[in-house]
Amino acid sequence: MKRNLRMMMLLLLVLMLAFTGCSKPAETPSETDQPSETPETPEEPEESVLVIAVEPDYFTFDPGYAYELYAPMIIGVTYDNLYEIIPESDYPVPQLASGYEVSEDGLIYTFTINPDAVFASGNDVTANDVKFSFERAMNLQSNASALLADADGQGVVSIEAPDEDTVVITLSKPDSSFISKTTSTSYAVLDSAIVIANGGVSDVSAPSEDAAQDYLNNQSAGSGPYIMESFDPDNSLILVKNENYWGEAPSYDKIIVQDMPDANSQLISVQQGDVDIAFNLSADQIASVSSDSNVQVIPNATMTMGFLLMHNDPEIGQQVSDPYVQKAVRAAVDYEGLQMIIGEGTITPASFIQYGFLGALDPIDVSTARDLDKAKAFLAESPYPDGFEIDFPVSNLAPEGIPLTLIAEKVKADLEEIGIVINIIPQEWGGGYGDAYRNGTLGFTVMYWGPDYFDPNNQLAFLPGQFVGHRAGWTADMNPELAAMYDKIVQEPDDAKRASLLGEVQEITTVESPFVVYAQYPKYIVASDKLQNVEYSNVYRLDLVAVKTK
Amino acid sequence: MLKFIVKRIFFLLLLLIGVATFVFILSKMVPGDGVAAYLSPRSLANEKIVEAFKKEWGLDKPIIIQYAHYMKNLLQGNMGVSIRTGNDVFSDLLRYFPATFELASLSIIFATFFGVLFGIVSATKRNSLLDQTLRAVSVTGVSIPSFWFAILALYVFYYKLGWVPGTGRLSIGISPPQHITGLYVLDSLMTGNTEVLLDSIPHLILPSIVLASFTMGLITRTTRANLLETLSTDYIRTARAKGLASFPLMYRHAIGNAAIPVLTVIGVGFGNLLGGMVLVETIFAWPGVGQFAFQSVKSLDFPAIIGVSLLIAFNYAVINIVIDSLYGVIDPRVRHSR
Repeated sequence: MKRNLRMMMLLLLVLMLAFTGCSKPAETPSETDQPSETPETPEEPEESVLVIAVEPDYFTFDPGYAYELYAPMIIGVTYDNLYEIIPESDYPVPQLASGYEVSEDGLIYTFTINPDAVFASGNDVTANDVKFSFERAMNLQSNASALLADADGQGVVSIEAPDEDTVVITLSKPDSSFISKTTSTSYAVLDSAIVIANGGVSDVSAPSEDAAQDYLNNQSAGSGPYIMESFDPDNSLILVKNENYWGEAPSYDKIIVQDMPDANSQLISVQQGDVDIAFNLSADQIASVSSDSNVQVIPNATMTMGFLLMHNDPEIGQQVSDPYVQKAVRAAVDYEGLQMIIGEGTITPASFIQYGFLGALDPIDVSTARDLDKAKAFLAESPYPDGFEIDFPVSNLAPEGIPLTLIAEKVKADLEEIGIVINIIPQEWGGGYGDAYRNGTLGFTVMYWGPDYFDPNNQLAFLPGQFVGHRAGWTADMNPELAAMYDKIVQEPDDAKRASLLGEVQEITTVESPFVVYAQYPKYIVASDKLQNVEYSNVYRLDLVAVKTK
Repeated sequence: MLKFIVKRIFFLLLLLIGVATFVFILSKMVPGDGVAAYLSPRSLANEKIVEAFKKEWGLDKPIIIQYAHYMKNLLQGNMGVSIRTGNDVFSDLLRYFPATFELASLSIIFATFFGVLFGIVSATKRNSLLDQTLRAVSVTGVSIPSFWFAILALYVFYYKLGWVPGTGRLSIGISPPQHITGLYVLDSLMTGNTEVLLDSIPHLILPSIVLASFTMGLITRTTRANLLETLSTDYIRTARAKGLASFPLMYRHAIGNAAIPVLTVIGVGFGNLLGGMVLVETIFAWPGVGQFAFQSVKSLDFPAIIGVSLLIAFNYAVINIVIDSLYGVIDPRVRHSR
């Protein structure tokens, strides 16, 4: 017995030494060296593969459900929309639609479907597919539903498909951002025949009866340039070229999205050449690769915006509900210092319309924006001339890789200079903070916001009476004139007039609002120096079709 | 022995019910119902969507009804559906557990082999330079933070030296073997897939060494301490006085008597490893239970959190039964006392 045990242990040791001694790093598809034993086999054209490392946040690729940050990157290349946002344009351009007409009252949109469009299955893209997809997304009562089926009576009333190539969508109220909303991956057009065959339901019974999510998590049913070959959660996702794609063929035969939750692992994998694009590196890590000639650091502007929220209700906001305190905080924040923390490329928008959107004012000059004397003067006019102490709950979120706790520390240091002492209380987003934020019960906090669709109307949620405004206790009756701007802007069909109205909103809210917008974040992508056109997309995060090898 | 095992299995069931109840209560004490973790800010402002979400996941019902519903399903073998993944929790655990089991198994083999070896050498060469060195190694293994060791090991052995492959269970672009057990080494052996076999083994080496370091340190120290105590007992002195050589003395009389505490440490270490080491799995992008647990906690996915807790409790309980049984095999006094 003991002899057997000794023999087994000896064998185990030999095996372990053999494995450790003989093992070599496995070669990746991007490496070109071929094993010497295979010269006689006829050479097949080399498969072009793009490997992207991301910190995974997705668990579904059903357009009707997906909401996470990186899901649109996958849905954006496996499905098409009626309209899309491309990097070269800030306005939607036709994708599945050839064009559209809108009625004089701005309520009826008639889209014509591009007759060339076909799904990966070979089925034609028809008006019925659009009707099915939109109705399913709206009726599922998921995140997708909120965009077109608004709670306040705005949104889509009906969708008709009078013939195979025509879709007629009727709105309850004019919506100047309606076309932008159709670019959201939530409203990607599904191959209805396949989805229905796999349990898809589009009517009002969808929340309980639709069973297509399981299917759509592992297969795509769209008309985009790629199809989903496999999805192994928390491991990898593989896209392969759609051989039936009706547009221009994409550059790569295969795209592998490798889950790599740790940023350090992403960094050394891209430096080692196993990964082509790393998505989630911190500012420190970006600095460490700037001298590496094998990789390129690509700075990008995003629409992610960070802001301080000061609740207007004295019972919730306590001292920061006072308008003079709000002004003092606005003047005391060191915007330049915050830009340094967030990293190069950070800008500070004038208000809550991000720079780059229609009608956005120029960013503020951060070198002069901080005025401590002015801040102290505002505070002197408030009921708290000597300052005060207040709690400051902060969530564990980290927009574009910068923890909100880091921002909170800087704000704490800034405000202490005028006598406001904040007690930072770290909280889990899912463990209470999120609910408190949603219910508008946080008095003073820091949060961020990324638009759901590419249009400045998105930002009107910050106006008094709108849902982000409500979270700061900013009700419509507190500023009826400003609150009324919401309908005016949303219903204004002329872009020039809309831009002017948006400008007015910013002029007011730059001076008076319970929000202090401290930054518009940049996004850094680190990519192999062999790649070009690696550009951040505010809709898809990364436009995979645009990426090419130099 | 059979009576002993049946009794332990009965207590295992009670333990699982207790754990499920305890974690359920804890999860309901957390402020927040998880809705904010799943719905967008725009959706959160839409009561219809919020209500539909709560209804779908039973969050609109009183907590006692939620508990009764959960326990009823659990007793029927249904662990519920993960809010995050939309899959049956049991099937999710079945998908993640093999990755952790494969890694934990190799880690505990490394830890046991080197831990026991170092412990024996250290005890027999007490106070020598070798003893001091091995003690330093074991203290380092116990005290070095595993996440830091993981980052360092990956940087040196993957990036700088290129001796081992990078993160993940397989190199990028290599497809997993046909699923039989979920253990890539075993599945690739069973299906004759040498490409995956030769790729998966090197991927196991670095994370398993990193994970083994802590347990190895503990085993080394426990082995050394218990062996030294045993070697100082009267019966060992008597055996020595009768002229028994050092090697047979060690193997026939000393190690067996010092083995029980070591076995306990191995059992606890294996249980720890099977619970999934969140940080190491994250750094090595290892799709195991640790990552599943971390993602579930982050998104307040209550069914998944309870499922992971049950799995961990189950692992510990089964390991305890095995270890307790082995006590009897090693030490007849334990066997006869039952």
